[in-house]
This record gives sequence, structure tokens and C-alpha cells, in this order.
Amino acid sequence: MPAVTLLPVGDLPQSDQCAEKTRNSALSLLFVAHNEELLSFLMTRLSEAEAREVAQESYARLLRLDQLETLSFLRAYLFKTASNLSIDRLRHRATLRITQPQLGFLHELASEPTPEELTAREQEARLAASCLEELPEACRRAFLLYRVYEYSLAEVSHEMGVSERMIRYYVVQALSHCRMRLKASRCEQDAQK
Amino acid sequence: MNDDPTVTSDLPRFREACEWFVQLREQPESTNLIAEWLSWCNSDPRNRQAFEEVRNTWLIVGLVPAHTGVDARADGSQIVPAARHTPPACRPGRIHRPYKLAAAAAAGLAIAAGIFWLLVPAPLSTSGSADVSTFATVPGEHRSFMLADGSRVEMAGDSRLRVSLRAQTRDIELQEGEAYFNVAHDRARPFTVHAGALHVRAVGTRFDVRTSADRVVVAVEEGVVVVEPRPEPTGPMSSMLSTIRSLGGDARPINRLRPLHVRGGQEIAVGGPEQDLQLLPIEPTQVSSWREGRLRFAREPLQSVISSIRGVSGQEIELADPDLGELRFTGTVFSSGVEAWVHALPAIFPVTVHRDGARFIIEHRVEPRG
Repeated sequence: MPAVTLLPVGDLPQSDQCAEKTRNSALSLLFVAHNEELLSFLMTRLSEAEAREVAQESYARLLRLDQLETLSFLRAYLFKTASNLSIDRLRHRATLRITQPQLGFLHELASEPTPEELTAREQEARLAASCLEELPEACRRAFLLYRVYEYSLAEVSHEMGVSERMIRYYVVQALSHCRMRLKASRCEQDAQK
Repeated sequence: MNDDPTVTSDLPRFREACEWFVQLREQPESTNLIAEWLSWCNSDPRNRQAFEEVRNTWLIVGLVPAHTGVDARADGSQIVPAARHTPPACRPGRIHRPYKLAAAAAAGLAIAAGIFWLLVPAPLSTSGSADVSTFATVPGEHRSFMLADGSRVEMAGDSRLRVSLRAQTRDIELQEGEAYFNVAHDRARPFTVHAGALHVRAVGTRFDVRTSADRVVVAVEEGVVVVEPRPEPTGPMSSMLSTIRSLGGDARPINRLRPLHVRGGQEIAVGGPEQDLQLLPIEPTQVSSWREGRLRFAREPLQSVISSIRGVSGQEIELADPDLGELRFTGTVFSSGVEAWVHALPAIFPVTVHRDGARFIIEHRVEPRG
């Protein structure tokens, strides 16, 4: 039972009096249906704050489209625009107010973290560090290069002399292991409460 | 969290979500991929949930490099025993390694740190006639000047640097202290700051370097600098080498790694008591806040905090025991409020402070036995 129903993919009425109205309501449907996905998609590369900005900008651009298009086109256009904007962001990151998202959610904060927040983060970071330590050597190295140093799969594969398929496997392996450990430690903390 | 204890049951879905995550990172511009991913998301709400979980894990794990060194060892003991209580069913089958002391976690990070110490060293360029000048400041002094190439240098107090401008290269040797560089763009003439165990290479950018003892901190305000190790037969680099060898790391791929790029909004710190490496986010506007008398530190060894304070304010602070220099301080020190800061130290660290003429002396606190 899908939580979000897929939008119809048919043509919208063209050159109609209420075409604009129809289109705008189609766009707001698109927004409702895909906002979460769009944010998730953007957050594979950007911080949450940046992802929200980019998502907004993408919708703004969509509204500026002159032509009426099919919803399937609009959806593709939305994600394409968002993708281009995120790539621009990554390129011009140095001049952005918000700093590097690849270092984790420290960046999510507009202001300086409080000592309590720092402590909580340090604990999670230590836990993450011990998770990574438990990984086999090659898996850990591949994951650190991919996650922390932002190498692409191809670059990690080149550095380590291992196939891209293998690197992908290592990344999935590392994430699965860390997720299991993080989850277990949360269970533990909840149990202590 | 409303955790189902049988976390392993949705592992296949999580792994599938990981695959999507990686795929989307690799090809963010592929419209087909996005469409396929969307229909995967919509085919089952648990798919979306799994994808969110991947993202959260990704974010948390990304905190790792910012927190290396002794702290994982010191307090990790609270975390590792917790892991032992994990029901065996929660562990994925492939990972059977016994949980080690968290000390090993620090060691693992030393590998990450070590990667960048083993790069092909860039030799110091010495060709051509050089325009060499030396600059030094006294504690508390703040000097600003322009180099012949148009680059701007701002030196903190108690700092020493040597500038060699040649036709092909611009080399700055930061022998001690801290300086902020606003580099005049000249692609044909690399601008390199040599500090401690590092080379910091820039083209046109603004960044700050500070060094004390064998620790170097590079903070980038704008642009990108390339940080690589400086070839040194002894010292931090060779000790880093031995760290890695003792861990049985395979040196082959490490040697082929490229230099580390530090971008605007990032700060990298290497060396220090544990030979660690930290890569931290930093507000670009804070990069040279020392020029306004604000010193920001994130898990900085106390020894290095004290050197910075002396540079900026001229205040002498002495550690009665060198061990104290390894305590990590996070926070802001105002050069106008050094005295207050020193007096507040006993609230954070197990120390006492007393004054000796113009100096402050920091000692271990002796706990009364009772």
C-alpha cells in the first residue's frame, strides 16, 4: 500500500482558460507527492539545509516554465533542475555560507553547536569510529575514501586497484554494519532510561 | 526510536537502499535513474524508510574524521561494552571480528590520518634567484604587510616566517606561530606555505596556518589548498609511518594516494601529542577571527591553545607538567579576557591555576584524600 500515489502521466489540457490554474494545481500536487523524495535525493550530496534551499529553488523554476507540459515531464524537469542546482552548489561551495555537508550534520547548524551538542556528537562519532574499526581493512579504507574524502566509486577503485563493483559492495557493507551498531546502541540507551 | 529488535530482518531492504543511495550519488543527473528510484520509493513505504535510514547512517558516520586520537581511547570504553550486549542476531554474519578496545578505533583512524602522510613528497623548489626576507613578531604584536607578488600576510604575535619569492615559486616558511594569507592569484607560480610537517599549496585563496611544536592547523576561508606531508627523515612523519606499519597496513595503495584538498570552510589539524589528524568544518568567517582578538578552538591540545594565546595577547602561561598540554580544549578565548579564561580552567580540567609575577602557572589538581 503505497503512502504516496503516483501522479497520472497524461497530458494536461492545453490553451485552456483554466490551463494555468490546472497547471498550478498539478504543480502543487507534484510538490506534495515528491517533496520528500526530492529532499532525500538532494541529501545524498548536500546537507539538509542546503537540500531544502535547492528544492525550493527548483520549484520556483518549475513555476516559471512557460510551456504546459505533461506531469511526467514536470517531474523529470524538477529532479533535473534540482540535480543541476546541487552540482552548482558543490562547485561553488567555497563561497557558500553553509559549509561542507560531507562532514556530517555539524553543518546542519546555522550557529555554533553548544557544548552539550558537541558532547552528543562526539559520542556518536566515537561509536561510528569503533564501528569502522570493526570492518575488515580493505572495506574500511574503501568506505573512508568514499564517504569522508568524497572520492567517486571510480576513484576509489583506481586507488585501491579493486573493481568498482567491489567498492560498491564495501560501501554497502560498511553502511549496513554501522547502521546495525548505531541501532543497537540506541536500543541500549533506551533500555537504560 | 520504535525499534524492532530483529533489526536483521530488514537488512536486505537496507542494502537495497544503500545501492540506490550510491547510484544516485554517482549519477545525480540521470533522469531515468531518478524515475526508477522514485517508483522504487513509492512501491513500498518501507523502501522510503530504509532510504532515510541510509542517509542518517551516512551522516553520522561522516563525523568520524573530526574526532580522532586519544579521546576515542579514553572514553570509548563506555561504548564498546555496550556493543557486547548486542544480541548476536543483530550482527551481520560477515563481521566476526571480536570487538576490540576502543584504543583500536583510534588506531584505525590513525590509518586514515596516515594516508596523507605517505604521499609522494614534493621537493622544495630551490631554483632561480630568490628574494628572501624574514619577518618576526613579538608576543601580542599583530603585523600586516603585502608581499612583492601582491599577496597579503597578517602575522599573529610570537610568529616567525621566511618568504622566498622566485620566478617560478613562492615559498613561505612558517617557522613558528600563526599567519593568515590572502594569496594573489598566479597559476604559474605556486604559493606554498611550509609549516611543521606539512606543505600547504595554494593558487589564489585565503587561508590561515598556525604551528606550534609539531602540530599544524590549516583553516581555509575561501578556495582550496592542497596539503601534503613534507619529507622528513625523522619526526612526525616517520612516527606516523611506524604507526601504520605496526598496524599491518598495506602500504602499496597508501603510497598512491593523492594529496588532500582542504576547501573553504574546512580546517585540518595534524600532529600534536597523539599524531592525530582532524578535519573539521569551520565557518569561513571564523578562519582568521584571531585578528579581531577571538581565538576559536575545537578539541585543540592545551599546549597549542596556550601558544596561540601568547601570540595574540602576549600573556605567558606555563604548564607545570607537559602532560597537561594534551588536554583538549573546545571553545572561544578572547584576547582581552585571557585572565578570566585561565581562572575558569579549573572548572573544565582537573587543574589549579596560580600566578607567578606576570605569568600564570597551570598545575595538576591534587585531590584531597578522604
